[in-house]
This record gives sequence, C-alpha cells and structure tokens, in this order.
Amino acid sequence: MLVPGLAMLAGLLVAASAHAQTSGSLAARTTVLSALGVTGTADLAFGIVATTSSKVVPAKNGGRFSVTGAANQPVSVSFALPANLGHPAVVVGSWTGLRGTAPGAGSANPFVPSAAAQTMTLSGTGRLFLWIGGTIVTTAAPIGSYTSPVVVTVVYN
Amino acid sequence: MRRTLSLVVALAAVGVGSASAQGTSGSINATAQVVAALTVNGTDLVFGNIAPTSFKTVAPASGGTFTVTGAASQPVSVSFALPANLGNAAVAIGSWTGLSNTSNTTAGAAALTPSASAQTLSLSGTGSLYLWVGATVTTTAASVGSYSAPVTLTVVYN
Repeated sequence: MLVPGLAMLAGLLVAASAHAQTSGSLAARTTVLSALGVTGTADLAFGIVATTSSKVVPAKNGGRFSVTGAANQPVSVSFALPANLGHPAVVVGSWTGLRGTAPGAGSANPFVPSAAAQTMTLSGTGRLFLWIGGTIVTTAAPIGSYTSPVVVTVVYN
Repeated sequence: MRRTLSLVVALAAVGVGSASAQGTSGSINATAQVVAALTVNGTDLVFGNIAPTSFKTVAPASGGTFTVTGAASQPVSVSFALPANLGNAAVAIGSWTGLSNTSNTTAGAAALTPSASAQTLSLSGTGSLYLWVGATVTTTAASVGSYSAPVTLTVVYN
C-alpha cells in the first residue's frame, strides 16, 4: 500500500514540475523611421487692425508649416494655440486649417486645428503641409504690435 | 532597500522622457498691429429739385463727401452700399462716379467708381482720406414729394 502512495506523490511532483516549466513568449518590436522635421515657413499675419474690430485670415493666406518624415506614415498632429496675442484685448480664435501633401493650398483639405491629436498621413515622399488661419478680435486694444507663438507637434502613430 | 527604490524611480523618469522625445514641434508667430480706430463722416449727396419725369446728374465734386480718419499712411479697403432708388422705384439712381484724395480738395483728386467691391486706397501721412460721390437720378412719372436713401461707405484696414 505504501508503494502506490509514493507513486501518486511522485506523479503529482512531476505534474507540478512540468507546469513550472511552461513558458510563452512575445516579441518586443519597434520600427525606427527617419526623424520627423517640422518647420514653420510663414507667420500667421493679421496685419493692421483697428483698436476695436475683427478680422479673419483664411487658412490659405495664413501661417504655414512643412513636415518631413518617412514616406506614407500616419502621424498625430496637435496644436498649441494662443487665446490672445499677448494681451487680453487682442483675442484670437475660430481657427481654421488646411492640410495637404503638396506645397499648394489649392488641393489641400480642411481641418480644425486643436490641441487634440489628429491623424494625418505623410506623402509618398514623406511630406505634409499645413496652413492655419484664424480670427482676431480687438476690444479697445492699446495701439501697438502683438505676437504670440502657434506651435504644432507631430508624432509618428 | 531605499536605494533600490530610488533607482527604479529614476529609470522610469528616463523612460518617460525618451518617449516624449518622439514628438517634433515647429512654431510660427501669430502677429497683428493695432492702430488707431477708423472714423467715417459724411455729408449728403443732394440732387435738389427735379420734375416727375426727368433726370439729373450731380458730379462728384459737387456731390456727397466722406471724410475718413485713421492711422497715418495705412492702406484701407473702401466699399459702398449704393441704393438703386431713393425709396421709390420711380426715383431711380445710378451711374455712380467718385473722386478720392488725401487732402480735402477735389483738385488733383483721383477718379474712382463707387461699388460694392472693395477698392484699396491709402490714408495720408496724417491719417486722412476724402471721398466724393456723384450720380444720376432718373424720375419716371414720380409722385411729387421728397425722397431719400442712405449711401454707405465701409472702410477697413487691409
């Protein structure tokens, strides 16, 4: 009777040992692409405005960004947009945008610039062009020159 | 134990920094120049008396006058809202003519055709601009009475 009991115990140990050796694997992988480049190629210039007024600059006539990277890759594009040009009486908003894979705005498609990431795709030559427009509203603004940065951040998806 | 924990925290911080470095940013500036407000004042375009069926032309030099003030030497867009009649279809108005000058005289003023389309003009070195408008009124069996309609000039900085 003692022998079968030992055999059973041995069987349990074998089973336990086999379970401890079970393994699985996955691959940790990544693809390194050419670095993204973002260049602001034109300021968004509202020009001359009166102390109390509003003026719209459409995206096609506005600021421009040029993005370079790996061909045909999707990227996430997000903006840091100012609420004013450094003075609360010089408000900017109602942002508009165009995106395209060619340098001309004529064939570009509209989008709404925002802090939320939007997916866009680089061209077959790794290019993306962005145009941005907006509306400036002045309310008894002091006479002077005003400026504020508009930042775009691009990340590979 | 405390030293080990510190090391783990430090590595995690490096990892976050590396992931963040994947984004690439570029910036431009949004710019504007705020200048003195524009003002526009006008005097009427007066055709005077006219018969029930007739026509009468008032030359711009004798017509209505707009005085614009703003920031010195700045280009502006000017556009007009022009009536088709003086409140009655039998008292039509048209064939608009105009003059512009940076000094308050029609001598040497440039001709312009008032219209709803924006035209670019420049304020003087002292921020002034003068416009004169004329037109032709045509009456066709119009009822006896007085007639009036607004002529509006809109000026915007370019």
